Amino acid sequence: MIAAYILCALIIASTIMVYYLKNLFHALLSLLFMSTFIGILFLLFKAYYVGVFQLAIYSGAITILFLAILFFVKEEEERHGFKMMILGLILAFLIITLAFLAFKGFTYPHYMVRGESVPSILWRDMALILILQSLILFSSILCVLFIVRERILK
Amino acid sequence: MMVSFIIYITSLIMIGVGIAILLSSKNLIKYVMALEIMFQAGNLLFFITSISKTPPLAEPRATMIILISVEACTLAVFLSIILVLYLRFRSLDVSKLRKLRW
Amino acid sequence: MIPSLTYENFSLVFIFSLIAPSVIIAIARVVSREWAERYAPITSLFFLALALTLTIYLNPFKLVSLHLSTVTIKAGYLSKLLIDPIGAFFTFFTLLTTLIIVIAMLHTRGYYSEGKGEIALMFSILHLSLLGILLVYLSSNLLMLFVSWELMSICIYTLILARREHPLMIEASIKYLILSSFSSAFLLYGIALLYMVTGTLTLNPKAISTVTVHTSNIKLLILGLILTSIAFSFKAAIVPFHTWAPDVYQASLAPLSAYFSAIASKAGIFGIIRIITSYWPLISRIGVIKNTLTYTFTAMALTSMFIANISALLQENLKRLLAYSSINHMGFTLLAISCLTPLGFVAAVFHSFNHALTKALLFITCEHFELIKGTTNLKDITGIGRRTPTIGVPLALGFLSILGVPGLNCFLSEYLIFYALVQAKQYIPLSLAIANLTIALFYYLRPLNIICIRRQSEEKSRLYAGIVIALFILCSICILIGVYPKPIFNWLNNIKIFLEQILTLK
Repeated sequence: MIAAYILCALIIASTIMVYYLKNLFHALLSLLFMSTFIGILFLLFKAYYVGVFQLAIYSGAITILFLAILFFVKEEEERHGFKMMILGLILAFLIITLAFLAFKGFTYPHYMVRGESVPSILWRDMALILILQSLILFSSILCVLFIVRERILK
Repeated sequence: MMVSFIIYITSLIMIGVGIAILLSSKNLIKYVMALEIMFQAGNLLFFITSISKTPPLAEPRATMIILISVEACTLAVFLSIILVLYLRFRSLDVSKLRKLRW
Repeated sequence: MIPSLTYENFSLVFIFSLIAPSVIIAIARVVSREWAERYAPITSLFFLALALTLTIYLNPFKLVSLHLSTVTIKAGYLSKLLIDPIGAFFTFFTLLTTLIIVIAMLHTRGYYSEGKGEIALMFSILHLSLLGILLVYLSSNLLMLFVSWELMSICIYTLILARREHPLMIEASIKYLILSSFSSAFLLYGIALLYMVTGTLTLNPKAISTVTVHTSNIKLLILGLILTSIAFSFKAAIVPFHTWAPDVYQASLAPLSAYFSAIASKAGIFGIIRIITSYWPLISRIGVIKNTLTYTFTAMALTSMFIANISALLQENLKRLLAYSSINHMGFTLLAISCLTPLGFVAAVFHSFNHALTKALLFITCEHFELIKGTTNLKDITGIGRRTPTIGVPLALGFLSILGVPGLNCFLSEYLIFYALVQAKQYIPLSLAIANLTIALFYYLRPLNIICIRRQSEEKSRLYAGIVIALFILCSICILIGVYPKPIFNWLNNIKIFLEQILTLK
């Protein structure tokens, strides 16, 4: 379990690095680290399917997507002034303490789920949601084509 | 369980940092990075419920798989809108979007 | 008589008739663009009419499983559609209003872009967003709610950008995207918290009544309910989260503004109603949650009414003014929900229905103004209503209806909301709501005067057939419901009986 603690500390560290780094490529790199550490955390707890999905999609596809956009854009980040930063930090702190206090003394309820394996739940129970997911994929392709249409559709 | 508590703290800090980035940054790509951080924090909460019992629960894990793919599609559409914004306005500064006021 | 159709086959045909137009139009666009753009509106009308006639099969409260082939998939609760009276009512009026809005979109293609547009893809994405919204109404668990919510959101981000290079549209889309994605992340977090506390993703109240919540988990339950309500009220344009609404409604094309304000905002109201009625066994057991929810919703509703009214008094653009009036009416609906009684929910549902019809009417007249003048600033469209009464009379009817003039539809729903507030003994919110409706007189009667009463000597302008037909249908529905509301009242009575069964502690 010490590995889990170390991984959580690394995840928090990478998140704070995303906040601080002004160069967008460096921030993307720390985002990549964060996603990978979360994926390793999933694999540590023997959640194989979820871990592979996390590593493949977040650390893989989404990072490459960001890189593609960043090569187009090539900008440094600008910040709002001091007031907005203080506001952001205060809001973040409030939400963290609120949720932390809400969690105190949490006892796990009786879960109404059957403890079967992930594939049987995905393909049998969540069949309609998988169809919806394929529709989301179809619609996001259509939407991206619609948005960037003048470059692609002649 | 102590590990669940530590992961809960992690996801809380991720949401907090995400909100701080959202409010303090003018660049839209940083904004999308903050969104990704917040979505992953939500996924971690589902993960907590899945490791809370000794044969680990499978339903939250299946839920996480669906959510990861949904969020990937959403982020793809965001980034394409941001691309159109950049191609039209040549800058990604949110404070330059001031034509629609009052 | 209605031919018989089993529920399983019904749901299959229904979902098919919603997916089919988008797939068919997308494939047709790949095959031949001209053919697709000429026939896309007719195709979408046909499938919408088919789906609307299928809603007569929506009998209340069944968990329906989906036949995907000749073999039944033995699915658990996660793959079923929940068809209950509230969802059925929302589905019905969503399909009706979309049908009328698509009728209003049946004309020149120069409207949708400067050169050649992408009309076919636009209809395809419109149908996908409609599918997302209807699956929100028919979803039986929180995961399906979230997934179809994301489907709806993705399609709405792109529909705002109908003219790709127009700077106002890009700006409005970015603003909407910023707030809506923030709310999606909050929705996800709230769903995760609710799952941690109750242990199940279901939205079936009978299943939730078997859940026991330890006293140490109550704070997390409250946090989860508040976060999901916040996320839904982003969509419904309630006040701390309303800043996207004026920009989006002003910048996007008028029929799409009609779609967003009449249909997409109601998904937020429905989400709030669904969460509260599904989690009602837990809410009524623990008194703290009920008080917190009542105070939160009343505060948000009243501030949204005040801020919307004061901002609307200063507006010079008709679509922006209609956006602020939408925020006002959403606050009014939330006030009805905050009573937490069956009559309150029924009043909120009825007001959503009437507001959808009236806003669609008003925005479709804005479409005529955009086609004629290119803008909807009040000083540019002076006197058009007087010159072309075919547009002026529906516009006047729409303004009178949304003011609450008796004989038209919104009067009945506003009266029902007041009655629900009195029954729940909330007299201070009631008086503030009446004060807000009085302030609203000022900013509704001023455009009415400018457009429909003042004279401006110009030639007669061209009329578009689709707009005239849509306006005629909407005016007749408004007057019909205002004068003879009995069929709708029968349906609302079913909803009330159903809610009375749920809202007693089970």
